[in-house]
Amino acid sequence: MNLDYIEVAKFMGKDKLNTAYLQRAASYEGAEKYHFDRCKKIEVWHYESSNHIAVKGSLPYWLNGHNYFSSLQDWKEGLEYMQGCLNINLFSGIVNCFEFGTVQEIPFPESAFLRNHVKITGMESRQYQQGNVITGKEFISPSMKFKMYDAARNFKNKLDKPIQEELSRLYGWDKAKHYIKLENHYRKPEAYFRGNVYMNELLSPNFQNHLKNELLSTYQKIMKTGNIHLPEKKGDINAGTLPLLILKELEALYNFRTEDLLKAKLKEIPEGILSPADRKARMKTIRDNLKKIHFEGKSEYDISELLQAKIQQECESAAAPFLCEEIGEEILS
Amino acid sequence: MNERFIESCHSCIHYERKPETKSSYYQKAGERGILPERLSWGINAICKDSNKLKGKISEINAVYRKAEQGLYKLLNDGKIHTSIWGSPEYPEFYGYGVIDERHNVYDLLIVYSGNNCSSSFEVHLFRGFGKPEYFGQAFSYCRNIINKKPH
Repeated sequence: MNLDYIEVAKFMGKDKLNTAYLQRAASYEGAEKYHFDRCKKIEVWHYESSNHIAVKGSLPYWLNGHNYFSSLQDWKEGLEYMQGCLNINLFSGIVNCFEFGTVQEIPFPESAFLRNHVKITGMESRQYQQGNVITGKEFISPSMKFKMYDAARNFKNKLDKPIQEELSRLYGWDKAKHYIKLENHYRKPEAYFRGNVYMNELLSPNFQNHLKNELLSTYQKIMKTGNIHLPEKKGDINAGTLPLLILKELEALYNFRTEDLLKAKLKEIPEGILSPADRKARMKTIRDNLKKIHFEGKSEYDISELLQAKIQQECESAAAPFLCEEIGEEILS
Repeated sequence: MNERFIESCHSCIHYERKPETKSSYYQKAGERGILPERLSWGINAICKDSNKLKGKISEINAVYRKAEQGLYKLLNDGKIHTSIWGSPEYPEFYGYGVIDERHNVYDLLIVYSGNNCSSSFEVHLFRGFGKPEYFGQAFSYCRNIINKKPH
């Protein structure tokens, strides 16, 4: 789990921005836009009238060439390098927005995973598709956005072969497996966390742990389908059971009871067409079909346990620094 | 810093001495548009002995031609200067210099030569690595690529 895209603002006071490592990309009234040292992924905006700068971009992409994973150490080194070049202390900058997420291997196709994650109450939903295939979903509130997308597809399309090979070597990424990226995009951290978030605070282990738990709890808020246990006998899946399966899945999303809706519909049909005895017989058939449908405790597409295990693992490795150092040395040698 | 990032900050330029000159080196290979195509190599000015200059083994001086484009052309009217210091911890390299602290630029130059810079040398330039805390990483990276190179 790691930070990804970020926007950091810094009021410069008496400091002077060093532009030796910047290439001017555009000029606007009151603002200059630069790219950082021939890297278009990092933008540096200089607002002369308010005497502040804003650095925007994905540090993992800039440092590692991918956003599969980046450690806190990567972030610290990257920011130190950047602030040395800009001659501005970025660690005391205010974070205007940032993303925190993870790439998770899942045991089912990405599109099925995305299809079965439907909404978060009180948040607007948006879906991204390529043809008929769902490639991503977003749940949006004014201060935060939860993003999920097909990471395997993204890496295959976006990353060069050598970087893909590096992902396989370092993190065990396997082209044939399924990966999903889950991300909390904090659009207004000052509103969400009720106060300004500073760069050095964001990088502190406590805040990182908080973000990990936040990611998990946001994920758990998503309403998921796929918690219906399919009948095992062919005879139990007749043409009448199939629409009921779908209606049952939609109950949680739209807050209704299938039985009530069907009963009301039967009552609407005039007695000239369906007599009370006919209605009773149809209702009985419907009830019999409904009995074939069973719910499981949670959706089969729910990956909360995988995320929990990942958090646990990261906490344990952070608590055992000596072990990590040894492993690190082994890798280096 | 990971290797990929260091690689993205690194450029290598190969210079060869112009025949019949003592200290005039011309670019023969490597990325163009960074350093001037012609460099003057060696300490030509007489300096007083001082502790500050201990370890200094050479100098690079150069000026961009009018039509020439270069990374440092806007600094110091297109004049390049750096002292080259010995690197006893990395003896396979001739030395290193930094362009150009006077202008808030901290680019590290590592000089490598198989002939003690008598006829040719390579300049390995690392953008933003001209501070002591990055020297080790830049030298190690250079050492790796030189060891991998077929000689």
